Amino acid sequence: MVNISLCFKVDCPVFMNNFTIFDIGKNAEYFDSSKIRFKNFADNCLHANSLMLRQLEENMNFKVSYALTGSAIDVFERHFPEVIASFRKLSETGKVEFLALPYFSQLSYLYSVKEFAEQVRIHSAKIKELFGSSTKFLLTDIKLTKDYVKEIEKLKLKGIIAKDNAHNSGFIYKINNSKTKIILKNSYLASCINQHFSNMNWKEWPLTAEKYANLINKAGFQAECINMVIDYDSFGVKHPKSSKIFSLFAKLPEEILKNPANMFRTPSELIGLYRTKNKFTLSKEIKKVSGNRLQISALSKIYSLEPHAKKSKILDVWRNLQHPSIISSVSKDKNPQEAYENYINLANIIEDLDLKLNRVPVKAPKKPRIKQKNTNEKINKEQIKRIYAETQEEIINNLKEVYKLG
Amino acid sequence: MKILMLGWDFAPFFSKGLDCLSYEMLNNFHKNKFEVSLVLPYSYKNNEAVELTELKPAECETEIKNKEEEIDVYTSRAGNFFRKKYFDAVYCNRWLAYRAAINAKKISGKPLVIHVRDTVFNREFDSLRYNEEKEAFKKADRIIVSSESLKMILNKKYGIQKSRIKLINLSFNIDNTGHGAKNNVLLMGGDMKQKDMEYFARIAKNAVSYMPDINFIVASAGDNLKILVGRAMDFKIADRIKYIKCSTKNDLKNIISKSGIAIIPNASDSALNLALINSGIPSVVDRNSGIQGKFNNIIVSDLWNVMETSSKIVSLAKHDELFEEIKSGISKELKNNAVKETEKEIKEVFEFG
Repeated sequence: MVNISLCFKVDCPVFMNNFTIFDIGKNAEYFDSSKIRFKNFADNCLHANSLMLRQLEENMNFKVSYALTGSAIDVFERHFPEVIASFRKLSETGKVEFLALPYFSQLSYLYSVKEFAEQVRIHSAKIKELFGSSTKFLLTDIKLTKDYVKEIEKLKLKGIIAKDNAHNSGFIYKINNSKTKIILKNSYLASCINQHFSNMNWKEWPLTAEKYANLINKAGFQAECINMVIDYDSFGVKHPKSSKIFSLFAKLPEEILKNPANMFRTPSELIGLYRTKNKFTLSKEIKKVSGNRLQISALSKIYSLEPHAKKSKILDVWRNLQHPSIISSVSKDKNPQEAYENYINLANIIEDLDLKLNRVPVKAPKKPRIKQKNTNEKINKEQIKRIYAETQEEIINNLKEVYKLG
Repeated sequence: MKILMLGWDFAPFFSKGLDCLSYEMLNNFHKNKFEVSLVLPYSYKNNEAVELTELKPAECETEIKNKEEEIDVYTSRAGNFFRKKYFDAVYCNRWLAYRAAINAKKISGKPLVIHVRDTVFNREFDSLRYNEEKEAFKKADRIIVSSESLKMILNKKYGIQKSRIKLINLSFNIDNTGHGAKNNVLLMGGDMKQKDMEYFARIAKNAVSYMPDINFIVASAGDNLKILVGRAMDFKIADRIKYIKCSTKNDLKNIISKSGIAIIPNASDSALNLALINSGIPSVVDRNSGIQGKFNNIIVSDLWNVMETSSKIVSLAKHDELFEEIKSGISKELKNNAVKETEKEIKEVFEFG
């Protein structure tokens, strides 16, 4: 039997405003959060949600899990409450699990463990508030290390969904001396949808539900479980509606379930099924960030503001700056000219934020007045007077010598 | 192939401004093994660096001040010269010499190639110049331009078919002698338009208000320089702007070695712009300069958007990581650039079936 876990990651980019040096210190807006920017994304989410709801209702054995990032939740709450309502409907079917994430950025772990833990807690609380369900799994893109796993254990999560990192993704893993279990992402099956689906030059194009189900069946020969993490913006944003992405998912559950060996499971169900003996080898260390100079400097600048940001009222603004879409906007891979422009905006925003944060009066501990201070000053003044007099005398002596005066 | 070249000045040996076009064209002719007879209005002395088969000036008197008269004298004297010569094609790159070029075509029946760096629409309007240009563009068999925007002007304002216009980017390399401090910003605007000067003055004013230790080095020889001088006085930033004469390659090398950042406006001398980029200096480039399509590691801006441009200049000067990233990026890009095929392109222009 092959257990299939289908997970959707719902993420929304954060857009920076054009921010010149002349905007610094003038209370200009950092982010473009206008409704129109996210309309397309929200519409497609709504459309995809209703499609999934139909599938969940029609197919008894279909189950799905969702990972909603903080930025997506914020946008939906502010502009599109109907999308939140539709997620709630999905949740009410009882066949949907929500996954845990750091609310703002996964990279936070690399720079501040404390901030990372706080963000995961915020996210879990938010999911509980919105959908009434508690999160048990952390979805992560960061390589697993001993320290990272320890930190996740502290958050009382049952497991981690992580990158395969040279392990066979068809199995569930455990770690020495730990209860935490690890489900790995099947990167090939996910990339079929996330990257290639609408690419006409791809060898598998056009990818139909039958073809995709076949690929899944093939992968199932050597696996106990298959876990696919698919970006939700594949629906209509990355791949247009005309690419038939919606009709693929309208047929896919049925097509997969045609094979009686296949079963859909949520991640929590999945780890309950196996007593795993496979051990996961943890990475020894992680590089802070693999990126260009601009990305590295932007990240270190942002996280250097942490102590000030935590004391201030604009903590959320600082946290929004951590969003991966901002850091990837200064990546030079696609368009270096644009990356430079974005970096200038970002650097100016960080400078403005720095200014704002330092303006917030931090209560300094009261120091007892030292009476000596005044006397010190006096002494200094007297010293200066004396030195001045001495040097003047010297100059006069020198002059006398030069001009041979008496 | 023998070419009759009708020019007006010959930088770096004889030039009023920084005009290396003639020199670079001659270099390319030489590489193609074309024989060239160059006709100039004045005599020159130093020709050691130029390897040419033939170079003969038609001497004119220098005291003539009226342009119309000057053109007449040049045309008649050039006529005396080329009547005795054999050539396969006529090449001309200054509007003052257009009449002589048309004349040469008429008399010899040989094809005429005109090289346009700017038109009257890039400068203050002058009806004499407009008429000369219109006539010459009509009569020319082929036209070489140095930027996409010029191609548009020729097509729209003079009604020249695009098929007759060929875009060639001439460039010359300067041995890299390193660059200067980051707060020295170079403006290399061969002949900038009046409004561009106005924009630049405002950009400088904004930049100085934010970064008091920023310096601007202006190497421009156009008529509109006086606008900048006046504006700089009005804005009280005259001490932040330094004007430098740049008429030879050595001057250029010297200037580049002293500046840290370059501003490249939408000036017509694209050879110069490319030379600047080729030196590896981080630059802020005008969106219409035609360079943004060729290089990746540059900052693109609209010069008219004064706030944005000055913000970009200051940011580049201020943020080390940005400066270094662009500098290393552009030098990598220059290394990877394909071998230039300019000489081949020029050869094609002069091949008349």
